[in-house]
Amino acid sequence: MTRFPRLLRALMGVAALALLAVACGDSTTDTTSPTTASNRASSSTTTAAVVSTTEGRTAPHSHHDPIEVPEGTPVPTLRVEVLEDPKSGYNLRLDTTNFTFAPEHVSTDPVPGEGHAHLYIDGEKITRLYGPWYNLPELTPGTHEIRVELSNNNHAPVAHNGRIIEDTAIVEVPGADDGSTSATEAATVDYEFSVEFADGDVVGGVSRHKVDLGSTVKLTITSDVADEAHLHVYDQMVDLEPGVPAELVFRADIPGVVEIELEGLGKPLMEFEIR
Amino acid sequence: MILAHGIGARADLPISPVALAWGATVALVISFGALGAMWREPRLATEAAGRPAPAWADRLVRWSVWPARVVALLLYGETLGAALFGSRFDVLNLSPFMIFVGLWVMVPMIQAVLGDIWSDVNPLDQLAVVAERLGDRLGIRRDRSFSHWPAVVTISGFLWLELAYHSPSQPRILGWLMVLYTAIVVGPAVVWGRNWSRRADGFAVYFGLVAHIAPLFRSGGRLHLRRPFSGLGRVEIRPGTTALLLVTLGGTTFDGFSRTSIWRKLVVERAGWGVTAVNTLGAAWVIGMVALIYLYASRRARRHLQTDLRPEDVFASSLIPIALGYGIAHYFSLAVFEGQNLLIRLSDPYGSGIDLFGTSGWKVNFLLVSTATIAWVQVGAIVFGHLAAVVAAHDRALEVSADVDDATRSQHAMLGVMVAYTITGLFLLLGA
Repeated sequence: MTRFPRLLRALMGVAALALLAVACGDSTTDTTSPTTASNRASSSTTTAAVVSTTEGRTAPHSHHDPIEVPEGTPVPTLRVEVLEDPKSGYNLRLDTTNFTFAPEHVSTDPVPGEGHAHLYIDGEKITRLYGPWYNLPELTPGTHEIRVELSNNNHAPVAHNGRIIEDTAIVEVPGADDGSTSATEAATVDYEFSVEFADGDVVGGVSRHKVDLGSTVKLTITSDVADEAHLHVYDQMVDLEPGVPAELVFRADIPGVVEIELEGLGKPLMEFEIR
Repeated sequence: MILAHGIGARADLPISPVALAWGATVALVISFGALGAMWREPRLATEAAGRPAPAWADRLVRWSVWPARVVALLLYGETLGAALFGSRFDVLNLSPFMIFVGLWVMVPMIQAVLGDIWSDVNPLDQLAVVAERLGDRLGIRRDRSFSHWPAVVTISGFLWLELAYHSPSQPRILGWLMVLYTAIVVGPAVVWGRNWSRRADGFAVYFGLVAHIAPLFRSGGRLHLRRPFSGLGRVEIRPGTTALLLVTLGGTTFDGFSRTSIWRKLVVERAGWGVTAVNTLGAAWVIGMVALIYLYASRRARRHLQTDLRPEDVFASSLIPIALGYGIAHYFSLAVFEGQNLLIRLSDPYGSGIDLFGTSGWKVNFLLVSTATIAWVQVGAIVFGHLAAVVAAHDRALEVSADVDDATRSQHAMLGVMVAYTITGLFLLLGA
């Protein structure tokens, strides 16, 4: 027992080293949470190849620390859309506000409200984007995640409230021999609910609904504030514009009680009791 | 607990009224049966002496202590590092999972089966050893003994963070609180040695109490076996021990209560510190009620007993299985589901995309145990905790009363409390 402290000190050294080693990988602030199963997210699509936008939710990763939008500067927004090219392949369209593409200033000092964007496909960085349109390279059949991050002139991601401003679109590229699956997947909706959020509260209070396991639920959300609705556990998101009803469709295949909430405000909207 | 961003967002289904009725009936039958049918001489204290475990088992434990200590220290460092330097987004950071799921939920469950492992591996205890040596070298060691009240303070602080504070899973907050907790527990050990750290570390004290349920324990440096639950006959009660158990039990009760629609209506129109304030009052109120009922009953029971102990301390050991039963009922599914997230996060503690053990790409399987299993585990844990508590209290009463009749009479009040706790616990599982 007399050697105890020396040994212990050695151990602490090991611990500290391990800690440091891991710490180097570090600390991009990120918006991300485990990948969304966004192929479930939308049944609004009937054809095979398409596109549902969800907030970016996969592993991040730029090599720079994000830079917060300074107080008082309008916060840029970004929406990513993937459109099928009439001939072949896909085109990417970025819809930005409060943000100017400034390829002429790239790799210089950051200026709030200007910069470029970074394109990631399935987590892999593909290229810089210097403008709102881009023709995507050939995509293999299957599901692909197209993610775009707004970037400052110095390549540091643009962030607001600790979250990188980014958006993700999911593209389903039909395979040679599958054509059938997606079309039939446009499932019938078993339950339809709607909820309205106004003046800081859910109109009529937060309600709880019993839902049979395995059924498809369609929820229409209207909010008087811009936010994002998050269905916990299923981890599905939908963006909300003030006054514009948004739809969220999910297959209730996980039993238990789950809640959908306004992610930004942290207010619950509705609960589902799935059994 | 639902932590920000929905760690633990999947809530259990309300149990069926049938399960509730079964649970309540069994609890009542046990209680009244206990009045007449139980043994007439105290037995637990004798049973608690146990017998030595086979030599191979003893050796196995001896050899695994050091590696386990190293692992515990590494995990402590990894958790602290992730909290201070990792992703600010809680679901990408190891620390909330490690603290709220691994430490607070899983360790007590393990302790109840395998005994007081925590006292061997507790990283803070290892640090306290260093602090103690430092104090020796500086010549400022002044040993003295302490009650469990410091532990009551530290565990209350943790419960406040978990149950009342509006943003409990924020990694940076967790990181600084880990530093603070470590400083409080380890720092004064320079002067007062491990006498201090062992009484100030609320987790360690609670985990140590829970370990009395286990069939394994160490005595004279050797591994021993005994009947499960018999260890409740030999619990060292210090000033503050009872309070610590009541605070923990009350905290878990409030966690169940805060999921009811009544409470959620109160909280929903508030945000930030408003939520914290309402929850703080609620938690204090629920803990207060739980404690008041117990204190009242133990005073009534005391009239029939011959003992110098303070009334609330006589039956403190019977609170242990109740607290554990509540804990399992509330957190079993959390351990199963968020426990998977803990494994995922262990591979990528900082949320930086690395994959240390090949688990970071896993997805939580929410179908691992069925909702029916969860419901029966919940009801079973509460009812079984009740049974163990009744037995422990009966045995205690025999020890400190003149005859069986007095002991039985003293139990009327205690049975009342336990039935109250159990029915409350079952009703909270309705969750509506």
